[in-house]
Amino acid sequence: MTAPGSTKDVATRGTFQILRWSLGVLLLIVFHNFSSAANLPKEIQTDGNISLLVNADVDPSELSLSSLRAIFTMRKRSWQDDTPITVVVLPDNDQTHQQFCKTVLKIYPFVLREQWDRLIFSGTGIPPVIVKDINALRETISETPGAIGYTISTEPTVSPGSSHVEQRVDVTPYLVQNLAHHDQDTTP
Amino acid sequence: MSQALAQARRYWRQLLLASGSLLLGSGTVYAHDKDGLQFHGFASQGYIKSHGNNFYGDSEDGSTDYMEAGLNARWRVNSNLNLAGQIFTRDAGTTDNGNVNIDYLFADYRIIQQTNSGVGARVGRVRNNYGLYNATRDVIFTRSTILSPNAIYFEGNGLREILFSSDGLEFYSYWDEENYSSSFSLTLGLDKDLSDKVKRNLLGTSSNTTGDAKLLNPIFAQYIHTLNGGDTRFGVSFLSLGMEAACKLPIPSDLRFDARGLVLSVQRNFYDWTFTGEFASLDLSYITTIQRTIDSRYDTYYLQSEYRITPKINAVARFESSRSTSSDTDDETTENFVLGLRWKPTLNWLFGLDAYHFNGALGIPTGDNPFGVEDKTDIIAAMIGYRF
Repeated sequence: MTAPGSTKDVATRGTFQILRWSLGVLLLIVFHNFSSAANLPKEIQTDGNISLLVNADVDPSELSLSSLRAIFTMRKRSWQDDTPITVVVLPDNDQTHQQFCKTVLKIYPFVLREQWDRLIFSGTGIPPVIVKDINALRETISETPGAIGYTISTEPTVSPGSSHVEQRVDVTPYLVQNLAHHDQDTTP
Repeated sequence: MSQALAQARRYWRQLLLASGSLLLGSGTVYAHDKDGLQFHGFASQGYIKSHGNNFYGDSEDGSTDYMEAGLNARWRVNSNLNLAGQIFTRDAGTTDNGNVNIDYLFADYRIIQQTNSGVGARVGRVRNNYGLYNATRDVIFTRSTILSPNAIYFEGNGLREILFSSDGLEFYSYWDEENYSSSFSLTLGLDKDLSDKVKRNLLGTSSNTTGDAKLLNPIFAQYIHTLNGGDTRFGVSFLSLGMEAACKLPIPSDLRFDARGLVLSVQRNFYDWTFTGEFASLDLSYITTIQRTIDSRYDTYYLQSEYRITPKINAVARFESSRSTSSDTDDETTENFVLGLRWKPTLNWLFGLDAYHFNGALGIPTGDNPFGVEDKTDIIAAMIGYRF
């Protein structure tokens, strides 16, 4: 037999526990949002004059030509830590977009568009977020955990005190090595 | 009744035009995914003028009875779970009536996600993967010409509806290597009742003497292998399904129909050119009311080349061949010649102009030609499409 009082205690304890957990989760979310908003995106140089741009949370060691193709054709949906991948691109006719397709992905832009349209109209995948210019792209990537896009490379000049430089992680040797390895096998 | 239908159709078109101009007014639409929710849509209106036979409406006098429109939404619940749905309407002479249907509606769960591979399942109504184009065949932006290749996609006859979608379970997987990527999907559909429209398209006038009809055990499987980021694509698609209909006349009994099909697809992309070929073999077996079995077989293929004159304008040429052999009737062959031109001034707009010459009657909609089908048909088709 359980006394009515103790049942109430259990119930109260249970409610407090739920509240405590909810508060914890809420704080985590708030902290997470603040921390990701404060971080500028990472710029990862490739061997051309196009750089990859990823949200500060993304681990660049996951990037290789085959994983980049899987990401930009929307087959791969999440990073290894389970964060959903959000692909952010410029419009199809943008020069930077076309150069990215040609030199980094080595996919014809019209082939990439066909792949996206198949996903859009059959519902079988998440199409990319299309933004109007490079500033919007940079902003969306810095605001969205798990986001990836590209930009025209900026010279890695060091401007002391600039928060941009503080946040940049140069993984050029890693990616160049990966992409160069593929260069030998694929015709551009 | 038919007047009410025509009225409803007119309203629907006005609604489409109105929403089209609204969207146009707002300029280029950029999809946004900040909340994991995305909307997309498309609408296209065709004009067909033909000689020899009608194709979608009274096209010998010029017909606008060819329209497609859809609106879809997709919600990313979390990194593993997506929900997607599309409502769709299509009007195409006597073969389609402009009703709004649920085209697909499913939950997509990614079971395994590794660096270079993934496995998932979709539950609900899914579009069937059959050949390179079936899953998005009704969107003018995802096919090369105004009318899909009749040889593989059965544009003008009743088989197109049973290729559409399945209510059931789809397993899919992909794996990537350095220079290639492979994907596989297997769809197991539930049995489902066929609408009067599908029965009429499939069985013609004998559908009047047919009671309830059911699609049985639909199975679709597809393997796609792409090289060098999509430069080259190979595909193998397989379908197997049955149909059962209760016949009222001449004596009450069941009509049974089994279909088994295989499509081989190949596509090669270059900077300016795209070459596509698809080859299909479809075995049909009918068991009629008097328990007589009729076996028939369709051997079909098409070869197509596309040339990008500028990034916004491309030209297409296609040859199609369809041959049907049957244990009951004479062999029949139809050859189609297709030339097309399309202009995409922006991502959102498309204008297409095609010419078709059908040498044979396979694939000509019988409902549009109630007084008999001629052997030769010439068609000029124009279409304007909008997407967002």
